[in-house]
Amino acid sequence: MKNSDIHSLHLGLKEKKISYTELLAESTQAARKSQTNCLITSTLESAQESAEQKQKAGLPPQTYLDGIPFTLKDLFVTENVRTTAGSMVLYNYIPPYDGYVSKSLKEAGALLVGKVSCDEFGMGSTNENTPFGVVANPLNPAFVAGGSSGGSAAAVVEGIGHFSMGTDTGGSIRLPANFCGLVGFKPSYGRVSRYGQIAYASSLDQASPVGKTVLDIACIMEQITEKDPLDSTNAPLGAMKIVDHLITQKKDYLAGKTLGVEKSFLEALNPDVKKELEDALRVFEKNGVKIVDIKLPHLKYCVSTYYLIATSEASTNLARYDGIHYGYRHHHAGDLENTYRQSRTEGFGTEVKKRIILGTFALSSGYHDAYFKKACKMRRLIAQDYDQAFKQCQFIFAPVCASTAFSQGAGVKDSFQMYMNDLYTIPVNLAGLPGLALPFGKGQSGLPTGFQLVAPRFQDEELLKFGHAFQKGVK
Amino acid sequence: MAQFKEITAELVVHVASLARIELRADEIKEFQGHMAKVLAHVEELTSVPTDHVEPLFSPMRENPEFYVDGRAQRNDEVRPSLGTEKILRNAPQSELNQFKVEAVIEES
Repeated sequence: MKNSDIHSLHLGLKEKKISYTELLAESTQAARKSQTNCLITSTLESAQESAEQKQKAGLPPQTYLDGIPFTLKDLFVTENVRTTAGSMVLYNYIPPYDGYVSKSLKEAGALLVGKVSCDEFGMGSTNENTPFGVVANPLNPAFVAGGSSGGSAAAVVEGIGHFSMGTDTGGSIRLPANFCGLVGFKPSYGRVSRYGQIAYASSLDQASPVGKTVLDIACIMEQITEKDPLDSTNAPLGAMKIVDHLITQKKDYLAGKTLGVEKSFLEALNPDVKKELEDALRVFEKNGVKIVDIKLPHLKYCVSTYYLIATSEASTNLARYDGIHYGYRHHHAGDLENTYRQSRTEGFGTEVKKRIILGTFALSSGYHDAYFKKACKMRRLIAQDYDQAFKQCQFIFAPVCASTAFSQGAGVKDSFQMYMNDLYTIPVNLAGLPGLALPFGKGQSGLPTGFQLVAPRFQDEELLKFGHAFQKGVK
Repeated sequence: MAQFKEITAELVVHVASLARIELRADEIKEFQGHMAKVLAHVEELTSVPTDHVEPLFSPMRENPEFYVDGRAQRNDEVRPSLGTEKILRNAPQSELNQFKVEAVIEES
């Protein structure tokens, strides 16, 4: 069952070929055997209770996710379950409420088996920036699982749950999905409520699922896309209806679709990754997709743009961690000012401090226009590049990363160099577009390679249909 | 664009202090190097003319159709709040149903 997709498991439960408790028992076993350090907090006990209740009631599953074990990145607040954001600052924080994603998945009947690791507050590409320890790549422990949602990807590969919810601010679901051979989907900004999702950079953060197939992603998206009145940046588009479309999708769905490629992107890749991506493009072509040359001239500025905007927003968002209301406090600091200083100094990790300080600088008096505002203008130009490109094509094909998974230790050595690796994922966040990372092939290291597909804003359903058709076309 | 001459140790310490963070000597050096590298890289943006470009602050502002006069609307309904007891469970220190902090006003 470990390798079954969610839809097959759903049918298995429905036809009583498998039981709720059997299904959960597999995840329990997998959690015991875990080698990747992906779990921060286990919730297997309460999952066991729920599975037994469902078994006793003997009802068929009420949704695609009913009875399906899953994990949550530790950035999603969960009522009465510790939520750390991968940080010392929140090492003892037990939220008094469920955020939107936690609540929706609970209501859908999915079984939360644990809270999984991530880079502190989602800041990193390797899942090494956390006091809870690096998350190893489940396919080869000498490499990282990727970040920031490394725990999510590792858990799915290890079979600790059949899907995970992560977040993606600059590639944080697509990169670990890519490094671990999974499907990672960053929805359009605004498509999933951020209520109860611990903030890093509010105009970029988006809750993002990771699973084994596009069909799995569709099953998840249907449950987390209701309009949430508690997030004013949540688009009132209502729950996605997509699974039935995918199941009944015609074989020739890809024929006649147009896919844009910025050729210069492929040139800069490691040869092993490049070869696989060219092969992927040939699969599209073989299935009748028309490949179109596009130009995205401002995307080369995206790393500069992103690291000014994201750190600025982070510096304001993380101002709330002051040791007063919840989280880590340095006791006996002498006075209030020192309580703030000592609590923050001892609570935050190095990478988080770097970003807070950079963001504070970019927003400070005299530099605000030169840095933050300039970056927001660049953001407009990057978004306009995509608008132009989408006049020529329906979807865009792009790399996720120039290489396969990084070796352990690379991320902590030089954080600036690590920022450069986000080149292909961050423009999608800046423009607020949906991005779907799909696994395809293997690199020299034997680790997975893959690519991403991008669609215009709020064309999430179309993107999933396109990605699903590709996965079926490969088979 | 950038008005600063160089990223000095003093500047790093000052900005960190604005963010209520204290740095050790080795951290000051590391952060200084990091900030210098990032800001040198960011200089590339000066080559792009943006005088007539409207800043894009959040993608949702590009969707006025979802808002009424630029504001999100929801029904003005009273909802139960979490309550003091639940909220204070996470407080590092509390007393008399309130958050407790170090003295702000000195006794004379």
